[in-house]
Amino acid sequence: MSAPLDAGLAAGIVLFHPAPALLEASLASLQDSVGRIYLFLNAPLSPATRAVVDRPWPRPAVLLNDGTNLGLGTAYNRMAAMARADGFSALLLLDQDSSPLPSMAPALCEARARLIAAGECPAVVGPLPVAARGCGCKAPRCFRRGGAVPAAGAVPLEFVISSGSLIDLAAFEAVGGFREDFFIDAVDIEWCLRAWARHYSCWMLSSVPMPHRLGQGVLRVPLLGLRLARQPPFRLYTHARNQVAMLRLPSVPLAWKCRAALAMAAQSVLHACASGGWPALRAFALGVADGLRSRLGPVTRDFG
Amino acid sequence: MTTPKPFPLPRPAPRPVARIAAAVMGELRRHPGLRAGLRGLAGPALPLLRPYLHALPTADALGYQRWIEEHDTLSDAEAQAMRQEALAGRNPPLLSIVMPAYETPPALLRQAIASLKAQTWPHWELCVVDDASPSSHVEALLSEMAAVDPRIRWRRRTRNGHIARATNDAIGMARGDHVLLMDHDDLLPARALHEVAALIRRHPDLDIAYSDEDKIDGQGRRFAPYFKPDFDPELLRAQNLVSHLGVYSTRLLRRIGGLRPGFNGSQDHDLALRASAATMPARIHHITRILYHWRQPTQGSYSKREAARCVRTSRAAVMESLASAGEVGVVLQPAPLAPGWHRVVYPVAQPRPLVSVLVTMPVGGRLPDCADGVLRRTNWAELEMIVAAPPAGPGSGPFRPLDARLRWLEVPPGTGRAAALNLAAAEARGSLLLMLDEAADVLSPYWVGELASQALRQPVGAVGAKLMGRDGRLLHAGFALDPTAVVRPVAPGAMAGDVGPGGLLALTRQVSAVSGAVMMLRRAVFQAAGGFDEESLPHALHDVDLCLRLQWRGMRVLHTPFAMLMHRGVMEALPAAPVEAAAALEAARAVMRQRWAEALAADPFQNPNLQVLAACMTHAAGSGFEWSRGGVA
Repeated sequence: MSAPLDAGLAAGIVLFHPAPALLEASLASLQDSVGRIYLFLNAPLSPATRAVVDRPWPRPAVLLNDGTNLGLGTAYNRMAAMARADGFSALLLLDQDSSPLPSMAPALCEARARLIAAGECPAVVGPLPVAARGCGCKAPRCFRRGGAVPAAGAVPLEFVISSGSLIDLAAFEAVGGFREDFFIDAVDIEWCLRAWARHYSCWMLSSVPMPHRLGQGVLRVPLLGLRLARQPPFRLYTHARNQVAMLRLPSVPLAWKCRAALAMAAQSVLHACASGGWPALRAFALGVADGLRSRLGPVTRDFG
Repeated sequence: MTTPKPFPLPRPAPRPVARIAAAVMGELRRHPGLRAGLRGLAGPALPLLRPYLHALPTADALGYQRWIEEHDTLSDAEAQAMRQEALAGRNPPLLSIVMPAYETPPALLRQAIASLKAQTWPHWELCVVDDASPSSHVEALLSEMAAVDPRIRWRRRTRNGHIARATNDAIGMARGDHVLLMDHDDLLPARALHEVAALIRRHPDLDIAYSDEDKIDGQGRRFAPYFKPDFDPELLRAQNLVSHLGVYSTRLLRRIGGLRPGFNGSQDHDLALRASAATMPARIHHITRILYHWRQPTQGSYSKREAARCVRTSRAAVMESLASAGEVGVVLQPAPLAPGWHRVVYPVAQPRPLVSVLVTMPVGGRLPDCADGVLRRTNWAELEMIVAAPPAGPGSGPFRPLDARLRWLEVPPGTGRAAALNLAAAEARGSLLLMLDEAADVLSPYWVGELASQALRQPVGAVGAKLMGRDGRLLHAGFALDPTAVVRPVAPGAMAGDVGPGGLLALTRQVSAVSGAVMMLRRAVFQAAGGFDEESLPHALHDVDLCLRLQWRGMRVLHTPFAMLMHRGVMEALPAAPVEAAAALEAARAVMRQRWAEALAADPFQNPNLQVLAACMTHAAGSGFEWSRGGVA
């Protein structure tokens, strides 16, 4: 049974060398549940992917950008502006690492309506990210928002990951766009914390799972029993850089800053020990240095 | 009849302290960054400091103290005269005060009831419902009070039902035609019931009435006055305008089923929304007097979580009210400057209407300063811009702008602004007209969307934006009417982050007039009203005249702070020599005074006490005015 179409909902997928089969599955699952699909090309499409996009879908996708990698923040902002101008009230953000089920978008829309009726001002409602079967990766960690109580079947979180999240576009205008200079990593964390600071809220629907692929596998830390997402040095760099840049933002709570600083120190050691020492440590060190100097934007450093 | 014991006021503060405090508070107001920094540092200690903050001898506190002494103190002779008048009248209306009580500290409950017994209007009954308080003192105290005064009746619930159910039970006990809602620890000034009864006598069909209010602390210090405007359904969606002292006809309350338990925390806001929707505006009245002192706890007993819950229930009530009114697709947001209150975002149907931006210039031949902001920094593609101006000089050809959305309209030299705008409006193709000053600059891309979403609504005639000056001070947030000057600015000199008294600068509300520097209205409305009066008001005040004509036709004029622009020049009525400009402005004032004498005499959306209070504050800051001893009037 297909999910009902929500006329006020559009979907936007950011593409960076996607696997054609995964993109095809995402497009198929969204056909009946959203009014329009935007594809933002942060890399040129391969012939196989182009063939998937060019298939005669009932709801053909609108292609944005020329394949230049402008980062996640810019992609989300452009798609949100496009969706707002086209008259949509909400935008479902996705990237190629997620596999949304057909029932996900309507469930998120219903949760948003329930939250609004309960007097909440949801900026974003997301599903429960779970590790995709067979990917060998871990699910992103969820952080409950202190002082906020569950409502309308949803759980308040400090942030929800951007992929799979339903953004309220009126709230988007009030909160402001995603940080384009973050490029990748933590754009969703920064935006959600800003939304909370402006008295909006961020919610997760635990009853709606969404398979997601985080990183390139899992790093297991012996003795401590910890599991970290395996990331290339480039991503460790952007992670450290943007987390440090967030330390000076007034919208980020002090508790979050303390937790982020401690977590980063621990992660740098653990990644260095578990995934090959110097490159990881160098990426972290450069990220911290650039974050402190506010040297943000597209990554210009060479990580081999 | 007993007189309540006066509440002790703090000892007089020495003048230097008052002056230093006033200077420091003034500096903080002028520097939002410094204020934010200090707030961040003081954040952890704020809950402990809050009870003492309003006791500081600031200009605001001293000014309000002065206002109380000069304008809100009831003398013994006046009180006696009011009592005699009340006793002499025939068929006096019986006022039923309904009060839910739960674990009320005995001293506060005694003070609340004592404030009733001190009323100059004796024809009242108090209906108290003890909401199953676990302690026995509430029951004992109510028994004691009822035994000595038959006007006091009470009952006890067997199970705790929270405030809405307890209040409904009390409403059920009421025998009067009108019910007044009172909390168990608050105070009414001695004249409160007399004023309500007088209003009921003047308007026997009254369904809802509300008064101004202030807050009172444990030491009896009054602070934070809220001088409200007359009833404004737009503002009621943003905040509980009715609140205290709320008076409802018993018939109406019973018809709509009283308060709803699902909205506990903001049950009174829900009630005001439903009651006002169930009656007509002519039966809703506002008393421009402080008739309620809302008790503020000395200890921080009101938790953050509890406050958040009240805001949520208030939003839920407004959302339900909007749905009942048939408003579809509306979104409620926290007002950025006052997150406990609401911003209502109305949807704009697709395809979005074309907006015609009309700009006049004294001399043509160049782009107006606002063009870049309108055409390149505004998130509203469906725009055209018409610039009405005389040619740059003799023999100069028409100016050819590069943007196809910009059109040039040549007007004869000497054409007044009103006539130029009328000519531009006749050329406009858009269904929405936006009058814009050429020096207005865009601060946010969403300003046209906000103005359009309001202007497209049926009851709205015109909508104006918030206009800031280059120095960061407020230039315009709607006009207040004035019998002499015709209009005066609201909250002159306020900063961008100022909330204003009662949220005046932070919420969408009705005003009597908005400036033509930024004014949007539907073209059909503009044409039906006959456009600007270019004959009698060619250079100045034609915008105010149009707004008053729209209201005369039953439409609303709104000010929205959610569309904010900056004026980069000097706001001038007309491009002329200062002497000629002053003469033209005075001529326009004379026309307006003759045409709108009745409207100018009383602005329904501007409480007259605000201006009096501002004068008291200015005087208190500059003089040696000190705290005085005295009681609640």
